[in-house]
Amino acid sequence: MTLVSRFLVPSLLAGALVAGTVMDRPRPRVPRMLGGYHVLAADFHVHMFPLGWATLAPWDTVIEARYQGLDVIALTPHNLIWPARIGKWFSRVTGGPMVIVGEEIPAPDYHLLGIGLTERVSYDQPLSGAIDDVHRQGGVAIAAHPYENVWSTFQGEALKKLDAAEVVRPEAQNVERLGSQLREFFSHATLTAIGDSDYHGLGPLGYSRTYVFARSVSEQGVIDALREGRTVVYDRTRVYGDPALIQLAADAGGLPSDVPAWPTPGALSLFSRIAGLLSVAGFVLLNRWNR
Amino acid sequence: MWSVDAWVLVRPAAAFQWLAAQPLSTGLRVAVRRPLLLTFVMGCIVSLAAAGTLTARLVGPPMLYWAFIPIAEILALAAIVRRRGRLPFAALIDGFFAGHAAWLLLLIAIGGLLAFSPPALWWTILTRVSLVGLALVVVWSAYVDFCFFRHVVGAGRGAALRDVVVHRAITWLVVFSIFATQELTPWGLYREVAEAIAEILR
Repeated sequence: MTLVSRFLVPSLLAGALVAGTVMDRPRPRVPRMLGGYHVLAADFHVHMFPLGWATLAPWDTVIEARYQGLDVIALTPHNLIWPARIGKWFSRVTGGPMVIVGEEIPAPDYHLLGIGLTERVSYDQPLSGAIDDVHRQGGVAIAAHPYENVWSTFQGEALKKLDAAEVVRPEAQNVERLGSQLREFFSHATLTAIGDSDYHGLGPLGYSRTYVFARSVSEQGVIDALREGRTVVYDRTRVYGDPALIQLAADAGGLPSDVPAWPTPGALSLFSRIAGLLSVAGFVLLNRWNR
Repeated sequence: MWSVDAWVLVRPAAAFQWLAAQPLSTGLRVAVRRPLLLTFVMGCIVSLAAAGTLTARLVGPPMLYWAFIPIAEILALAAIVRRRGRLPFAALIDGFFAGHAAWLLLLIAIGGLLAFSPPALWWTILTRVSLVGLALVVVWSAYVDFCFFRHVVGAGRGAALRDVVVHRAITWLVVFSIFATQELTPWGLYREVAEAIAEILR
């Protein structure tokens, strides 16, 4: 047993780390131009540690976005924006993807994403007021996970002010009941189509993503595109967004629409998972401390 | 064959009585080895859940910032045992964290399920399987901690029970407030918990 705990378990762990690290390579970011627009892969709903029910800190989240081939992310902590500012700063100094400061405004009867913010927006107000606060800062307001339990809030004047809505999300790609609710909400008004991952550190960032057709590769270029409806979003079988841009993308052979493979493929990945789990369990159950 | 941690997991009273009767281990190495194991396992699970593999960039940095959990636990332990100088604090830390095997195995199981399962199953894993596992671990680990305070710290039954409650109240409040919410008011905590439940029931 000493042999197992002293040599086999650490060796397995070292092998798992080496294999996992070797195969962990960033996806290439592919600059795309279509019809005079810069086509940017974006995820506008990203949470971070701390205070966000998430596992990765802002800097690790920015690095993860780069590894997932994203051009733009909006960092959207619940009810605050300072962690997003840290992420934006980190990306700027390390040459990472474009980071837009945002907030998920979590009121009891709605969740709203404010993208392009300079100060926090309070959740302690009606939806219409929160959208106004986002617009006053020059940002865009996106309905976050607008499932049927909040449809009564997204009505009338507030719905008219709303810029965009999430129509594709990870769980909705896998549960038809949820997917149909997002589609039904999206069909209620003229809204910019958004695909978001609502990332909390589980699975690939950008599992659902938005293709933004921006006139310039800048935060203002992205905000303008969202405000003017210039997005294309794919789920497993459908496509949403501006019909002319959908056609433009289709004529060019389409944009990448497959969800990232998971479990991550490849023998090294499989070895890293199995050896990693066995070795950490081995450290817990077979260590010789106190003996 | 098995570690003391494994023994504590299945027979906490007997294992802690044995541990308390052993020659004392002290020093920094003893104090930090099991808390470091906890943070290391957490780093590994973060990496498995985020990337599906163990990769250095997602194991190392999260180990540092997730260290707030063992630090909170150690501070809470210090607050509880500070007037009971029966054992050196390093030995107390080591003994207390020897009772964490249930938590660590739960983390490893969740990390393994997420790393091997298709995303279609994640919601079920996180909101059903993990919560059932969590409930079991919360209850069993409370008994493990009770045995620690009873047999290692030397508290009476009532005091040991109170120690478990106080330790969890301090630790869980700190952990929840750093992990989940900046609103440390009763209303803020209620809101976060209610939101989480609503999310699970969605």
